[in-house]
Amino acid sequence: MLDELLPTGLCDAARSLGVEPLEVVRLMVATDTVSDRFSASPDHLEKLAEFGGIEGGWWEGAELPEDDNPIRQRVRAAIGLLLGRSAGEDYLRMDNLWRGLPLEDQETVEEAMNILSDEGLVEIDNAEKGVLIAVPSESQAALRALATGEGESDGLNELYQG
Amino acid sequence: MTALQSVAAALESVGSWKAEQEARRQAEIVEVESQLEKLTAELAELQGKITSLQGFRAQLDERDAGDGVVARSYDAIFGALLGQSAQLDQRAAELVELESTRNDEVMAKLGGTELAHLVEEYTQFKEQVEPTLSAIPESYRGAMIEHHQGVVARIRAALEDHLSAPVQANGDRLDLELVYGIDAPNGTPEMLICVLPVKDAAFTDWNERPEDLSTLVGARSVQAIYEAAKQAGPRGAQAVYGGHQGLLALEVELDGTTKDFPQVLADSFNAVLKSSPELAAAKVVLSARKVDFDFLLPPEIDDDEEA
Repeated sequence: MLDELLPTGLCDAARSLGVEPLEVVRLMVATDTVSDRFSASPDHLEKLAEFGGIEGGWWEGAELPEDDNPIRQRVRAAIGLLLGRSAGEDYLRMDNLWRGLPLEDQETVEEAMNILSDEGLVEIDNAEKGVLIAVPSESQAALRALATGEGESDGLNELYQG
Repeated sequence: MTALQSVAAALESVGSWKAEQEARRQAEIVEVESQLEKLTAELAELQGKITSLQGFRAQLDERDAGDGVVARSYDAIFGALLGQSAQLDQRAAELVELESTRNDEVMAKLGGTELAHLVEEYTQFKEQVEPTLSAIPESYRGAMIEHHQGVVARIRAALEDHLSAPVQANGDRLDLELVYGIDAPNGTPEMLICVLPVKDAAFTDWNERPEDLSTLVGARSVQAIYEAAKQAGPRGAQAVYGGHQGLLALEVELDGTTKDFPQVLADSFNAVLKSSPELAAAKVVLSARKVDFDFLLPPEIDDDEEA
């Protein structure tokens, strides 16, 4: 019961931020705030989250489209979420797109975004903040079609096979 | 009286001489051409033999360097690191036990300090209030949780000095190595691979297992890599990790780094790994060893062998 009182460590910080432990290390190095045992106070965590653009809750209240394929259903919803969150061609932190989802769905959404990147529909960039994603203006129509189920992508069709 | 030779006849003899000379020259040219053709053919044959021998020589070099040294080095490195990871696991388990004992002792002493009433309040909340929270109206519930979090924060702050220091290991000094290779086919580093004496589960199952010394060895190693990337590039370097032969392996794309990255990285490993308080307390000396990049790649399976 008293474990809650122990100092927070690297993995606690990772759980709190919703990222992996090595991402906490990367953010601490980027912000020059590496601490003993990589522990982090709530203020420190807030600073890391702000620097990294880490946001949770993107899926709260999000509606899944009707689709008889659960993988396609999740990916269509994720693309819709991406379109709704992206303003112009601004880059967003990519893992915000799957934070809070069950592990299997997290992997599906991540793979889908990598496929869309390979197909030139989104741009992914490794930046100091983390891995970022942007929607080029010329891709918006195609992505919207994928989100509504009217469009198709060879790579995603393969992913939908499971 | 000697008959006089006519000029025409004299010139005719010159013509005969010239014809004989031409015939001889043509015969000599044919002979030389024949010799040249023969020598050229012999030279081509020798050149073919040279090319063939050079190819054989290259195959010998490749066989010795590839199937021999590279494969043996790969096995030797991973075998050594697996052995070291087992020792690290053992040291980590010892420290978890020591730390647990230390924490229990600190907690037991709380009763006699000014924190006693806070701990009592904390315990009361956990035992009596928390189980009934769902039945309490939301507005009250929020206020109670907020108050409890304040109590936790105050106890944590007071305990930090006692509990945040790493516990001292009892065992002998443990020498460990991380091994890394940098691929730079054109002189500029393109890829870094790093293999740690840490079981991959420390990070692949991080959410299912307690944090321990293995976690910190991995984290410090990655810290050193990111510190080097911050200094020498690439901007936004991302370490991709996974298990290889049961060990934690890291891969970092280095597009955009500078030629001095290898030296910056070596300095960074040296600085970070030597100044880590938890490694010092655990009596772990972790050093970084640079090896040929190919030594860290699994040997290619020969198609014939595979069949």
